[in-house]
Amino acid sequence: MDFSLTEEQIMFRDLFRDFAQKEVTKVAKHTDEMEEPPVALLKKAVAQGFLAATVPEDLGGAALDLLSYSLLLEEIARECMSTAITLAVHNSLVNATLVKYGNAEQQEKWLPILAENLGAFAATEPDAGSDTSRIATRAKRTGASYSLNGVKVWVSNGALAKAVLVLAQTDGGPAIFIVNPAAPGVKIGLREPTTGLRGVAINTVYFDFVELAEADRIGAEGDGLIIAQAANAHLQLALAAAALGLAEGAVALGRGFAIDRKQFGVSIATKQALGNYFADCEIEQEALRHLIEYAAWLASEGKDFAAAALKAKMFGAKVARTAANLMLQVHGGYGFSDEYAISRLYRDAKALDFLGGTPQIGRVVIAQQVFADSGLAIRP
Amino acid sequence: MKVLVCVKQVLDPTGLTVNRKAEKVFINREDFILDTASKAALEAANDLKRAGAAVIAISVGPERVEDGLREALARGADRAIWIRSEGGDALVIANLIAAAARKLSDIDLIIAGHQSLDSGAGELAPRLAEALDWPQILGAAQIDAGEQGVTAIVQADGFVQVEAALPVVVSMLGAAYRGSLANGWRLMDAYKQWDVEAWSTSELDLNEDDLRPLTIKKEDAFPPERQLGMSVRDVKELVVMLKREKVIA
Amino acid sequence: MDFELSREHQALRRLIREFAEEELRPATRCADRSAQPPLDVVKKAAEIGLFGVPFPREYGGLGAGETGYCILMEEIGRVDTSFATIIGAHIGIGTMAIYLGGNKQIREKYLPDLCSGKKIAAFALTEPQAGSDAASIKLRATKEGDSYILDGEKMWITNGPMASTMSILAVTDPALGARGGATAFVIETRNGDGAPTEGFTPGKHEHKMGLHGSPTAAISFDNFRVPAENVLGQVGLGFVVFMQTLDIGRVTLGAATLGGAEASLQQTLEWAALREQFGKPLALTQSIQFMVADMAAETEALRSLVYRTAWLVDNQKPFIKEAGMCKLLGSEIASRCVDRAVQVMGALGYSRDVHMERGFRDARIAEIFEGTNEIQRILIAEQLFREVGVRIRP
Repeated sequence: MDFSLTEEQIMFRDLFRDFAQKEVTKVAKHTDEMEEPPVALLKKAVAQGFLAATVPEDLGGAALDLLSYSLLLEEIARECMSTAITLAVHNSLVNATLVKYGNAEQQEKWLPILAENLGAFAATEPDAGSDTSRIATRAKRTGASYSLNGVKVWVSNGALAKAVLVLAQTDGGPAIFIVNPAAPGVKIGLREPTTGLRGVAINTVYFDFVELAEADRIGAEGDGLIIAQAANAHLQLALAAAALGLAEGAVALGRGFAIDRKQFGVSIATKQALGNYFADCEIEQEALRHLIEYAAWLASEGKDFAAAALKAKMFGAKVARTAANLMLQVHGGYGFSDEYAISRLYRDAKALDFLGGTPQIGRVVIAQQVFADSGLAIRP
Repeated sequence: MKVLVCVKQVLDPTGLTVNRKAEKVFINREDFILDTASKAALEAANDLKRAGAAVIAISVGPERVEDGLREALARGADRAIWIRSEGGDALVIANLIAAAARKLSDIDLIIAGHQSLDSGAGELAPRLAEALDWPQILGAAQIDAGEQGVTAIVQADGFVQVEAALPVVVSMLGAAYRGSLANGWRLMDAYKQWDVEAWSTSELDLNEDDLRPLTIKKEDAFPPERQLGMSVRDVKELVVMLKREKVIA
Repeated sequence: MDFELSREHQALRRLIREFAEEELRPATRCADRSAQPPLDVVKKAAEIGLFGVPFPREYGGLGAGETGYCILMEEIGRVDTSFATIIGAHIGIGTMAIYLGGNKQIREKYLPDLCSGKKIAAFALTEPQAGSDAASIKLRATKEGDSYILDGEKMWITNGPMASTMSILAVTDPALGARGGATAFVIETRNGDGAPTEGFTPGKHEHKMGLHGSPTAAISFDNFRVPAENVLGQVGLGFVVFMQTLDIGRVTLGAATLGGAEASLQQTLEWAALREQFGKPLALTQSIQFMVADMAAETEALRSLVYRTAWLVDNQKPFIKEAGMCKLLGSEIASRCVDRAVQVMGALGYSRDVHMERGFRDARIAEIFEGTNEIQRILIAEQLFREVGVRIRP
């Protein structure tokens, strides 16, 4: 087994790291403070092809393999989790869906737009969080077209999106539609005030008799949940990579602080209790990295990577939260101050406990896999 | 002016759960708190202290009532009397308090709560007034009192100003409670320095009939569940429905 | 063993709960959003005696002891961590150092105004280079006639911006270090009209992740004069007073975290009963059931620990080890409980429109201030190993 990155992957990683350090680091604090997405940075990301990261070359994308994609998100997340999540949602939920399930017309129409503008995926509703079967947003057939009505909440990239994928009920079952937010009847609500990820546009989106053509439907009526699940699987890998990046960013901050901070006449890095924290983080991050690599490898082999990606994400959430928490503790009182970056990472990391699904649901899914051939029904 | 304030305790509603389907009230935590209307009564009496009134708090019931009376002292009462008694309906309680008022001899004004959180019967004040043959003002939102009498704002059809000469019985609305909190120092004194006077029913000038409840509780029941109305989309559907039910031809 | 609180303590709890629910709760959101302490609520708390709960009646306190003070912190902690921090810093460390270290004259002079809340207290120990290593403080107190002149700065001072009275630890003899070289003083930092006294400069408010309703600031002293009679305890032995104060302060910090844990549990139960997914309330999901069971078990254990330790204090028994445990366990239990409470709400727990979300950001500091949990573990280990004859140093 060869665990090394290919030459190309190493080159990509260095490119991403360079971009992150040159462009992302300097906007992270301001983005969080102002609760505004880093629009100028995202334009630069467009120029680098990051908004079409995994789109195949023949469709105009950067055609990154999934491991390189995960390296991209890792490097970005190391400096700014909001930017990483923005890119992850865009690439994994929107672009990947269009690539896999969109027909030629849809790809031709939307992928170029999405190479330069963000997309969003609207699934969650006030009564439908973990339980997507309860969605009430409905696309009602009216002759050859549809009329879309409903409210979606927690739509990442909502305010910036030039295309929104919407999970809606139809007579033939749940379906995915691609909606232009500038169309009549679409209203984007104010930004949700959040604990962290304050640089991600997170909005409620209202659909009020929005007219849609059949051409706007991705896949068939009834395919909605399958498509959403596939999108989510891609997102799991992306989130796992972002989690690793955040954890590494946290440790870098903690390490720097611990070396410089002297108490009791010595650098606190030499205090065994703190050394233990760094050791624990190191072990977890090593394990996470390999989970991500394995899931990416499965994808590159054309195998089903959903289960592996889910495990990576669930573990990643834990690793990121632990690292941010321990490294905040290393900072002592300064860890609670807005002047030091670590508290932002702590706030950002918490989102991993619900983004892309909660660990409570994740455990049910994995338990279902464990008991898959027993004939037993494992329910949430 | 001597003011007698009747206070009562109720079960803390935050310790109760009502399950309508099972038609049961669950007492998860049995804590007693002073009823809000009693707090309003104490607050009104405390306001009168500024004009020189003396305030006596009184309550009827088992030993836990003592804590309610100590809270009354913390809320400004100068004296607290506990009439030791187990059970009894509003009539019995009214008779007991009336007898106590007579014993105290120079009470000018009795303030009680109007409609407590638990029973909400609102019976105490009228029965007290009847027992003492005094006028009554029920459901006051605000009162002012002096040697010449009581002026009260009462919630009737809107708000009305009512006057009465002393002595008079007034009941205060729970909603009138402005939230004057009990005082911490007075609360500590109420437990460590001051006394709650315990009176037994035999000390009062009452006969057996006066102590016999008039009402007997047979059962607790929930009111019947109300059927929600139906909604119709438009007038056409309403007409169809009315025709179907043969309300119109 | 009688595990019941006395009737006056139960009555005190009822009083404080009414205050917390009716006066404090409505003000918490605005305090968080505006990063300003709710001064009108502070005033109301002072008016009913909450600013002097543990101190003897003769000094204007309520005389309710450490147990009464734990009840105060628990009830306030149930509603708002920021306010608990304001009142905790005022009573538990700011005023407490003056009470523990001050002679009769000092107590009679300063305690009445502090107990009535007419003046707010702060505790000035930490400096930029002296956090866990409190012994490395640098702020100097130089003797000059019948005064001392203070020069230097303090950092992370809760109530720093609004306190008029502070207990402060300064170096009186640099050669001696912590043991013998530091002296504690009571100082007046604001005069009658609220202006900073001469030589005292309050710094800018710290911007923090949470605890927005509790103002924290750096403060500096430049040629600040304090009368020699304001020494708390003895010259050179200021560390003793300050460490004693921190020890006792930990019990009530434990009580505040207990309140926070209880609020988290209550919120989780109510939400899980209400919120339906997959055709049933969350309460019917085993994962959620196990979460609330764990929260309740931890909270119950913490409650016993806190009130038993308060009993040790009120009965003049050794309590230092237990006090450290109250702070250590309490802060970690509260963090775990509030994390579960927001987790059960899913994405909604990430919204700043939700009360519990504020609890999540507020709770984190408890594992750090009043001695980090790492220091607590060392101090507890120190006590334990002393019992088997081994001396350890931080």
